[in-house]
Amino acid sequence: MHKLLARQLRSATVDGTVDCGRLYKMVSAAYEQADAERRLNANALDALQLDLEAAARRVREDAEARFNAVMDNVGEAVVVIDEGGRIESANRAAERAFGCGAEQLQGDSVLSLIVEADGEASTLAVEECLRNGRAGMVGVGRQIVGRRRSGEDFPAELSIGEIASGSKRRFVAIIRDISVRKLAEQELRESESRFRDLAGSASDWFWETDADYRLTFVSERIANVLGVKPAAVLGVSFFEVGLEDDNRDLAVEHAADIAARRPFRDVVFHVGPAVGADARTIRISGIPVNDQGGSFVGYRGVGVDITREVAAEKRARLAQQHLADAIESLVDGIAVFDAADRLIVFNSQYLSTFGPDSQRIEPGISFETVIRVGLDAGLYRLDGLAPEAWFDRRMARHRQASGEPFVIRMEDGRWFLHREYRTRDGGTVGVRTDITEMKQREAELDALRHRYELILGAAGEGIIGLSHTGHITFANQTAGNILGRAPDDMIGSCFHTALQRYREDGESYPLETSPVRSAYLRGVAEQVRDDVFNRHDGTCFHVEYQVTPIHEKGRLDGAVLLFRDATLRRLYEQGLADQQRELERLVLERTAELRREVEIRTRIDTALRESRERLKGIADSLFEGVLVVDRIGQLIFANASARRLLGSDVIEGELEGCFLDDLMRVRRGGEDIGFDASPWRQVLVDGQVLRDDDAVFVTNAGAMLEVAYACSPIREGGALRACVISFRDIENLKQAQREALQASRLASVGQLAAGIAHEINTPIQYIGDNLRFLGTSVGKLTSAFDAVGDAGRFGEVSAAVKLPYLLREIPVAISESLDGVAQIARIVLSMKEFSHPGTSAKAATDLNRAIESTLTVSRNTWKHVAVVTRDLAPDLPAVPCYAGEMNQVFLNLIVNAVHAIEGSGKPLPGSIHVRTARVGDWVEISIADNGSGVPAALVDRIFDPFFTTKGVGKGTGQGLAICRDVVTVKHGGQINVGGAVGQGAVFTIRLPLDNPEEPPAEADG
Amino acid sequence: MTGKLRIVFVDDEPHVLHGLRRSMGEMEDLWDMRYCHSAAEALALLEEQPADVVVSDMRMPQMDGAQFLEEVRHRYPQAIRVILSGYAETRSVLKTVEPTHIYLAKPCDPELLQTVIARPLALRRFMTGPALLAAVGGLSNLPSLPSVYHNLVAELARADSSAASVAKILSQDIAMTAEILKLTNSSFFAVGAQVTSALQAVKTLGLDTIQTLVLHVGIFRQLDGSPMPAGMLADLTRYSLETAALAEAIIRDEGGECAATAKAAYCAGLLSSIGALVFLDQDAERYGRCLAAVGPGMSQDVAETAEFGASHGHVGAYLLGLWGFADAIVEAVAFSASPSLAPCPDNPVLLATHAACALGPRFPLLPPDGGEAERLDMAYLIGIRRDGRVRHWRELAGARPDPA
Repeated sequence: MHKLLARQLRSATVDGTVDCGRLYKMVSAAYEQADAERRLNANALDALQLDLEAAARRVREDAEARFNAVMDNVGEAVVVIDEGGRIESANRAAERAFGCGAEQLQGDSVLSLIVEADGEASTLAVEECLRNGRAGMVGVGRQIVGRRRSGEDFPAELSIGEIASGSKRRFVAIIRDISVRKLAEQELRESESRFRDLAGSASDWFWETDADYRLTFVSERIANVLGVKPAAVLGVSFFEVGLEDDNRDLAVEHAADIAARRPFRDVVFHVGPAVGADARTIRISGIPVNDQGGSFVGYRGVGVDITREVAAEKRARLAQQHLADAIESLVDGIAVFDAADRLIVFNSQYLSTFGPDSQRIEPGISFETVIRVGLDAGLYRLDGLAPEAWFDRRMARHRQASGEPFVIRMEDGRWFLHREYRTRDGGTVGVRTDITEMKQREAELDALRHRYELILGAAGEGIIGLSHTGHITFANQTAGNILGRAPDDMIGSCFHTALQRYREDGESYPLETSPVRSAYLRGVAEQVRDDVFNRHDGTCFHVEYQVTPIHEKGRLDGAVLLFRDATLRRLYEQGLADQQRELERLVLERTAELRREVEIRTRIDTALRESRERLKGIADSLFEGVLVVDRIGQLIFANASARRLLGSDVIEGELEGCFLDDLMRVRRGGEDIGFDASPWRQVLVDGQVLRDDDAVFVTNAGAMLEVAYACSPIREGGALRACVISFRDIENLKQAQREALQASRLASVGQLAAGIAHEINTPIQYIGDNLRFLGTSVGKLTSAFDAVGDAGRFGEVSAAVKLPYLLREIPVAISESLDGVAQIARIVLSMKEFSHPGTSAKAATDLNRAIESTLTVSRNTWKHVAVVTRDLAPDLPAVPCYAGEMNQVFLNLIVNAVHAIEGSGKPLPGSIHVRTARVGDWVEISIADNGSGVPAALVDRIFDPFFTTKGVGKGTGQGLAICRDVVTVKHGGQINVGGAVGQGAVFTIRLPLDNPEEPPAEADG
Repeated sequence: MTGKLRIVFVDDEPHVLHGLRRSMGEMEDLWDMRYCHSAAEALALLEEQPADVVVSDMRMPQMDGAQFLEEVRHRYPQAIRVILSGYAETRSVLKTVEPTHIYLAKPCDPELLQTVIARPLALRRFMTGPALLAAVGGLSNLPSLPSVYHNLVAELARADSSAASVAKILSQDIAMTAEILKLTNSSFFAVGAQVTSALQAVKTLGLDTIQTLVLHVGIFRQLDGSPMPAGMLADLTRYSLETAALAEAIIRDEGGECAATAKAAYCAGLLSSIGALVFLDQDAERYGRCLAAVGPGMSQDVAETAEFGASHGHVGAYLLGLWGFADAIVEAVAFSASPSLAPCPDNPVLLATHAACALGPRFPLLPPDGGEAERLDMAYLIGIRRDGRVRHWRELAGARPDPA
């Protein structure tokens, strides 16, 4: 063993065991030091060579200097000495070398410059040389030790030459300071020694090749590696050693490097047998070497046996693979982070939690990144936390890595139980277990438990759980209700004490006879139809129950008791028995009835057949027209009246199968509507019976037929297959209606007449009075005039006739009379306007004026009942309408308002507000009163004919029906009622300004 | 007291009041006339000083004419109550039947108004006691015979009732006849000539109106709860009917007279004892005591005047005057016992009534053994040169079945 290694081994041995780590470190350090020294030595060799070259150059220069005799210019100390050895002269270099001036050297013996360090040999040699003139020292440097004047010695080379100049023998001594060279030589020697030591002890070995890449040198280590002597491999290349066989591709590449004379590093190849103890893996590095002339001489480099390292690496890789495989096989997700928090290894389970973003998870990313990836993808359910807060909490847990489990919920509903551990190297291992299923089970279990509790609580039967000792362990709410005790209070008490202490007769109930106990003891479920339980208050009641013993792990562990109050049941059973008897009796009766019914049915069937024939006869003889139409508008049936009414009796042949459209259409809104848009089609779609008491059919001959019709669907087998249209001609009825309207107008005019008469009679009264007064006044005035000439008589007369009174009163009487006349004229004019004769066409009418007229003629109706205020739009456009009929509407509404105010019981006078306004293409007239209002329940009915809230004699119930007819049917307007009960009613009429559609002309005379 | 008659006019129309003031101006010397714009104002005025006559409009705010006059009837029964209305609706007129003496329609001739007011005032001079004035003035109606009333209601309910059948029943009762004639002759229904027969009245008013009056207004009062014994009313009624028939027969026999006069005579005969009905209605026992004193030395008129302040003739005339009956009838009733006192003796109705009363059946309430021997006013008959007819009249009267 190398002694260094021994020393290191000793240092690494503590208490008899080797700390391999420490040893390795020390060895490593030694290697590194060796490497450093090796590099240093390499440099030193180069420097040595350079010095040698420089010395040779200087020798050549000395020779030249001598020849040039420019001694001062030479670097060597040159002294000229005589034959006695005394110094004659010295050059500047000598001055520098010996540390004194030349003059100080002159005269001294040359030997004073030399130290006899090696046994006086040098002195003797110099003396010999000087004496003999032997050329022994000439040109040949002799190593001596020089001594400076300061006493310092230095190595030097001395050469002496004789100068043959004249008679006198003189010599030239050249002393060259070689202290630097000596030092370098010393260091080189030491270095070489060290190098050799190192080369011998290192695992690396050195090699050199020639230009053909054949090994010319290998260090001794090769023997250890290849098991052969170095000499055995000299002359072969690494290709032959094993590279060629081991790795052909590498060999080719390497050959290319060599051919290009490129340096190479870490070429690894196998040597020796493939396996076994002698198998080796080596790694070589090398650089091309050039000689001083720059020509390539070969490669030089190191090799190292890395067999063990490769093996170790292989083992390590294998171990890691095993680890990865092991992790992968785990169900839990595992991720390992190193001390720098970088992801090192993880399994696919772990990866799978990231879903589509899993490709972003790769070794090397930090834990923070991993979490960010999850957050960005919205994987985590943050439980209401802000993402940053959640992140901070997560990071804190990670840093803590306490191994404490915690739960992470994922947005996809999964739950993970997470644990994080700190590894020895400061890294972290995260283990995540998918507990979703467990959580779901927990939730299901909770729900199940809750449901069972609810079921038990809601059960209609009392349920009691009994322990094996007969104590109550559970009671549901119904049990509590039946027993008159809170369920929780029962728990723990003995079943027998609580439920079966007494019999119905008040005697105690022996436990031994209780069916509950016997059932339990036998261990089988038993149904008991009738037994007695005690309520909490001690009273008894009949129960029926079922005892079900519970077996737990093969032994009896208690029982469940389901019971219900049987009192009612007993009563029912009693009743049931009675009913049963009654039923049997009824069945007998019914059987007899059925027999009779069968007979009756037979008769009915016969009658039905006859009736069908009769029905057809009836349908044909009906005054009403009857049509049956199928879904596509084809006639299935038409009776004789329908033919007659529709004028189709002139058409020959069958109507059945014709299309209805070919026979007639419905007129609506001025258009003739075919089957597809017709009401019949609607009836066939929604199955509702349709009725219209005022419609117009247009026959195919173009004749208009005013009808009332009803259309009903016919269902066959649940489907709407056809509809029946029955209709009758209402021409006469319509005429009667028109006459009724006219009559109602006349009636209201008649009613008004009385009021108007009063309105007129009043002014006539005072006009008459005034005229009479004027008449008598004229007589009196005449008599006064007659007396004008006679002052005395005039005084008497004028006093008698009260002349000043007459003169004062006459103009007033005239003025008031004129007022009266004007009032009468106004009333008469209003009457004329109000009684506007019905015309067959609408005329543009000033509704404000119409309203004023109506208010005037009806003044007597309202003047003592209400104050009428008007808000009539001054720019109200003329409205196309039937003025007379609209007046009737206004009158009706005003009279209604008066009656409402009178009927409300409020203090008189009330108020009536009449307003007109234009609203878009409509004119709106509203008449509001502060009477009793219309209750919401009546709003829909008040426009119905014959509906009235007034007392007998107050109205016919037709007023508002007429109003609606006039406004909606004749004018295409709207009328509705608003306001609030107790506060008054508001009737609002809207009439269209643009009303092109003309209803059929009124046929009134 | 100025001694002038006091008249209050009420109308909510100022122009009407102005007109009345002007047209009634000439009466200012005789009458103290006041004009009020509302019933309330008038009542306040009456509170200060009662009026003899109240003339009111019908339709007025707050309190209408009917309500107002009812109030006046209650507070001041002796006041003569007149409606002056332009209202032309039957229903509202009927409301005024009870509280009103006279119904006048606008427009009303001022002269007619003056006459209508003046006539009952003139008749008042025979009424000496204020109590009697109040009693007569405060009357709203007179009692009718229950049997007649029931017959009337039954007849009106029949589907085939006619004017004739209804009139026939009405004419069986003094009060009903008077009432119906009063209404018919009011200026609302007046058709020109005075109506004096029940049939005419029913035809004029129409069955509808009669129905309303009887069934809804309650114009007729049954003799229920009245202190008057039913037998007395029945006797009086029978007497009146016979007198009326005799009066009509006499006037027809006089000849030359038109049918209208005959009817007027019948009417006057029928109503000649309406004053007695008033006395009976007021205090039958007292009236009985009063009549018991009648004998050869004490005429019926004198006895009645002594007891009540006026004879039954004067009371009846006053009432008929208030109710607007024709002057001829009023005069005939007033002076049937002593026609020579009449201001206008040349009145055939008066003649016929007097003759019928004097020659006809004996007044039923008189004591059986008492009574006047001779009731004919020979001075009067001689004055009008009809004394020669008495014999003939006696025959006419004798032809009649004797009520006794």
